[in-house]
Amino acid sequence: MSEKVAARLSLPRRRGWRSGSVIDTADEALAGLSQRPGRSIMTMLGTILGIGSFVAILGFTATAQGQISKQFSLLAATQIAVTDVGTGPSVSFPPDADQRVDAIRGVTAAGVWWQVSKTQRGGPVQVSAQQTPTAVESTETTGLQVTAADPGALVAMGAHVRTGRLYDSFAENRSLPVAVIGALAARELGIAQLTGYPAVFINGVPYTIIGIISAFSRAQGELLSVIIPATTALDRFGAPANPGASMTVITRPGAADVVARQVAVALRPNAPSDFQVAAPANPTFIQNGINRTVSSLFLLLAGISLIVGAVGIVNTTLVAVLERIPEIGLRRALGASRRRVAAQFLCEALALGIAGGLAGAAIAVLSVLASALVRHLTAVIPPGPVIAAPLAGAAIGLLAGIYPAIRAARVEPVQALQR
Amino acid sequence: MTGSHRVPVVSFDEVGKIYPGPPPVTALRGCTTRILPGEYVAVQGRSGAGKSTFLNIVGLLDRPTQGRYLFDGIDTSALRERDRTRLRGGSIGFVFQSFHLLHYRSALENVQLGLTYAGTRRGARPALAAEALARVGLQHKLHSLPSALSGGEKQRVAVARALATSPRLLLCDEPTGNLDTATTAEVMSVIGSLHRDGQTVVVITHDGAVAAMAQRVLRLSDGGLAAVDVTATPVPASTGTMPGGTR
Repeated sequence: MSEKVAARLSLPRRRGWRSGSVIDTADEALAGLSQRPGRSIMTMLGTILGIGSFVAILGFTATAQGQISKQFSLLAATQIAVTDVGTGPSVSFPPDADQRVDAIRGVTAAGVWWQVSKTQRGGPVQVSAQQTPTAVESTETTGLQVTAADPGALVAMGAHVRTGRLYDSFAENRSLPVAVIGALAARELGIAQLTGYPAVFINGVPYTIIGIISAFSRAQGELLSVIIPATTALDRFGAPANPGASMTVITRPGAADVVARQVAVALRPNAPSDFQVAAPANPTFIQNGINRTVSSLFLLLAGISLIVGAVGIVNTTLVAVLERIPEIGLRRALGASRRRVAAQFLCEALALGIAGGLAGAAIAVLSVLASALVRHLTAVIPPGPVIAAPLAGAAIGLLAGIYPAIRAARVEPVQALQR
Repeated sequence: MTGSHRVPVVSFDEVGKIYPGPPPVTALRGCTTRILPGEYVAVQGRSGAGKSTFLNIVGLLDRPTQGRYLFDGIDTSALRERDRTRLRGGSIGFVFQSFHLLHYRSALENVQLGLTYAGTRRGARPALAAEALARVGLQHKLHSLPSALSGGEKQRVAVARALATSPRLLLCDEPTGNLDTATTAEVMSVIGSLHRDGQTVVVITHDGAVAAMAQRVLRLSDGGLAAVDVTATPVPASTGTMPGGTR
C-alpha cells in the first residue's frame, strides 16, 4: 500500500532510515538542545556529577592505592620489630647486635633503642633547654622524652636530618654526651639552629645537640624526643627494665619473613627465646583488602550519583517534552512519524548524556590531577573509565530518554496543535 | 461545476465523526462534498459547528468514524498510521492561526522543516525554501528569526512552509485569526495569488470577509454541511497547474 500511495502521489520513496533522516534527526535534536542552553547544561549536571564522581573516585582510589602500596612496600612490609623479653639484669641485645643482624642477608638497617624513662634506675627524666653548655641550667623543664638509640637505630627509624648530623659509632663507642632532637622537641626547647653549640639538659646534665631531625619515616613519635647514644644512656641511666629495649630491623622488600626467622638466633644463638620477633603482616593481603573496601564503597556512591543523574535527565527531558507539545504537534502535522519524533527526543537525551560524560570525565581528571598536585602524590588515572565515560553517558542518556521519547511519540497532533 | 472528470482532491461521502466521550459528541455528521483541483473553498461556521473536526479529517490528522474520505482518489480509511503521516507530509500544506513557527529557527529553516518531513533531499531544501519565501514576498527575510517578524510576515512564512512541498492541498485554519485588518488583506492576497496559480486551497474561517474571497463557501452548522454558496467563478481547468508546475 505504501509504495502504491507513494507512486500515486509521486511521493519520494521512503523505506527504513536513510542516512539523511539520521542527519536530519540529529540536526533537529541539537537545534532543540541549543534553543535552551542553560537548561541543557542543567540537565547535563546530573550526568556530569555522576560520571565525574565515578571517574574521580576511581582516580582518587587509584592514586590512594598507589600511595598505600608505596607505604606497604617501603615501610610496613620491610620492618621487623624485635623486643627484649629476656629475664636477665642487663640488656639481652649483645653490644654487637647491629653488626650481627646487619650480617643477615636482606637486612638494610638495624639498631637497638629504648625509652630512658624505663631504665632500672627509674625516676622521671627531666629535660630542659639552655643555649650553651656553659650557661646556667634552666629551671624550666619540658615534657620531652629521652630515647637511647644506637646509630643503626637512627638509620632504621628513617631519620631525616634538617640541620647538623646524626651521631655515629665514634660517639657510641665513647659514650659521648651528645644528642639529636626531633623537630617538635627542638621547637619545644626553642632551638632553631645549631650555631653556638646549643645543649639540652637531661636531669641537669648537658648534652650537646649535634642534629635536628625533621622527620622519621618509621617513628614519627620520636619527633618529640631527645635521642642520645645507647652506650651513653647505659652509663648514665643504667639498662632498661624488661621488656624495654627494642630493635628495629629494616629489610629489602620481600625479605622480611626470612629475616624474621633468623634474627633471634643471630642475636643470641644460645638464648633466642630472649627476643620476641614481630614480622610484618602480609602486605598484599592487607593492601588488597583495603583496595577492595575503598573501591566498593566509593563505587557504590558513584553508582548512586549516576542513578541520580539519569533520573535528572528523565525529568528534564520529560518536562521538555511536555513544554514542546505544540512543536511536536507541528512536526507530526508536517509529516514526522511517531518513530521520528521519538528518535529526535532520544537523540537529544543521547547528546546530553555524551556531553555530560565528556564534561564529567574532564572535570574528574582535572580534580584528580589538582588533588595529587596539592598533596604531592603521583596521580594515577585509570584510562579505562575515562575512555568509557562518554559511552556510559550515552548509555545513561539513551536509557533516560526512552520514556520521554515514548511520551513524545504518543502526542496526537490534533490535541497538540490546539494548545 | 466544471472539471467533474477530474479526481477530486477531497471527496467526502457521508463523513461523520463521533467522539466517544462520555458523553458521546457528534462533531460531524453526513457530510458529502467534493473539492476539485484548483478550487478555492472556504469552510465557515460558528464556534462548535465542527470546523476544526472538518479540518482535522481533511488534513488527515484525524479519522472519520462514519462515511468515506478519499484524498486525491485514495481511500484514507484503508491507510495505516504511517502512510497517513507520509501522505499528509507530502501532500497537504498546513497554515495555522497561531503560525506555529519554531522560534529558534530562521524563516528559511522553518520553511525547510516541511521539506524535511516531506522527504525532500537535504541539498535541495534551501533553494526550494528560498523560492517559497520569495513567492510570499519574504526573499529579504530568509535569515530572520520569527521574533524579528511582524504577525503578517510570520503567517507568510507559515504559508511558504506549507507551499514549499508543492502540496496537493493548502489547508488554512483561521489564517487571519491573529492578524489585524491590514495584515489580513496582505496574507489573503498571498493565498489568493497562490490560488490563481492553480493551488487548491481550503480555508477554515469564521470571518465572512475572508470566506467571501473563496470561490465556494461550505457552511457548517451543528456538524452538518448546511449550504453551499458559490461566490465566484471557479478557476478554469486549463489554468489549474500546481505551484511551480512540477507535479
